[in-house]
Amino acid sequence: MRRVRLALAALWLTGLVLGSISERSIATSRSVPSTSSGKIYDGFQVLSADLHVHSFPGDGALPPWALASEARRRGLDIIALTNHNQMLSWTLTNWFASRSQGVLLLPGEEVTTPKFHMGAVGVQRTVGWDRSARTVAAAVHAAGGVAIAAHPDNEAARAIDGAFADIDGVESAHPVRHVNDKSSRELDASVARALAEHPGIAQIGSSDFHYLAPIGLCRTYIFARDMTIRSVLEAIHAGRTVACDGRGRTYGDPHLALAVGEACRAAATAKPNLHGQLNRIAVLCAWLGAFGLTLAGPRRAIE
Amino acid sequence: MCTRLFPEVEIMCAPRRAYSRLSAEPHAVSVLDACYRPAIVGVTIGTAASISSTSHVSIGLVASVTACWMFLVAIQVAAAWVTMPSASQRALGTARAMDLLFSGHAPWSLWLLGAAVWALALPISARDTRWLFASMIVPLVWNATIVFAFFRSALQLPRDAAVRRTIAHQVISVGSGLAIFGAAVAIWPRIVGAFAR
Repeated sequence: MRRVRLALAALWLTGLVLGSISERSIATSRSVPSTSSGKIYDGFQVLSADLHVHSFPGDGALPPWALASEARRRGLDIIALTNHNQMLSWTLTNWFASRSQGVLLLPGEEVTTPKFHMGAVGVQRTVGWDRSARTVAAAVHAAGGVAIAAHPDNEAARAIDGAFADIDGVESAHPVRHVNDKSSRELDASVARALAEHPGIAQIGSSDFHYLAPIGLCRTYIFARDMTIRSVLEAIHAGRTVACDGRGRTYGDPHLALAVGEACRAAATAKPNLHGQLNRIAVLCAWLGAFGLTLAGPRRAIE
Repeated sequence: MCTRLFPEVEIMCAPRRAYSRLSAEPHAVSVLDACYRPAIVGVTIGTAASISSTSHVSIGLVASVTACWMFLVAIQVAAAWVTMPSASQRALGTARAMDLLFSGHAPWSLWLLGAAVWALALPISARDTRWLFASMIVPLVWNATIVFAFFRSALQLPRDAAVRRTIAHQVISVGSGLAIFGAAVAIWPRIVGAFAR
């Protein structure tokens, strides 16, 4: 039986090695092809971002450094670490580097209040949650960040109504769009109200990554002067963004949307699940190895 | 199906009978041996979480995720440490007892691996996490039954004492997990919001 366990451990390890080789090959040709990265439009650098990402320690599965690697694999230039009402993962990130593997990590939090959630991207400290939308937005600005209405369904949007003028962005593209048509219609209605109040509001696409769906499923194309935190926040504040959902649809200024439409469609059609033959084999080996090791533990009896 | 070759499978099928038999066998378990099963639990968590969140595995990814989430295994070791009778009050040594208790972890490990398959196999539009989280009731009940059998049959405690220690074990291990998850999702504002509606 010892041989069985050794074989299972070897299978698991083979999966990890094959996965690492697959990752390395993707590092040279990203799994999400030809994103806007490096593209210049009207004097602005076009950057692909996911501004709503949960990480460890928090309710996300991956630590910041693994997120950076995964973001690169998924063709993202920027991710914002936005855990609920805390910034521990950003503290952890500071121990390493804010730019990891070419991916710019932004500090942030998802301000989680009883009535609505608001992304606070670029903040240097946490913001109190027991407040109105307008006060939270002001506190986010005072902390050096931009405020983004997170997944504003009908109820959350009602709590934010009247405050959209003070908010920098609204999540027009969110995985909730993929759940059903009703959720998508609710989101459309909320975004329409946001645009009525604040016509220049930045349209944001975010994956709200936790642990069961890929990072960058929905994403934001940001037209920034350069790839620094300051320029990125300035671009969001100025509304120079296009949201992209997982079906390749864009939301935002039609001229800017035209510039990234192809990249958005390419990102949507690049299947996150088991991309590539080598990755499929790697996942299968690792899964079977772990499954076998779980069930085939050693007996300790002395024969 | 319920082979005696592997304790994990035998314990899942018939926990009390398996623990009676396994604890009666002459055995030799060192501290290092006792670390094997907790380590496999950690590796399973790391592998399953990597697959479910990225559809991908690599040495760096799985090592990182395993290292981060190993605290869940530490909580379970602590729960076992606190709830097992002291060494002088039981026939089994600490290493052997830990090894036997972690032999009963398979329901949770299989649920995690099942969740990874769920995330891989279903399209995003079909992933209703409510059903996934509701299915946690299966490993929760199954594991509690196994823990009870461990106290009752392996440690040979009276029924009442076994029930008390099982409850304490579940409160510490599952309760800590829920408390940490609750803090991570900012549960308090959500509770306030639910009552305000």
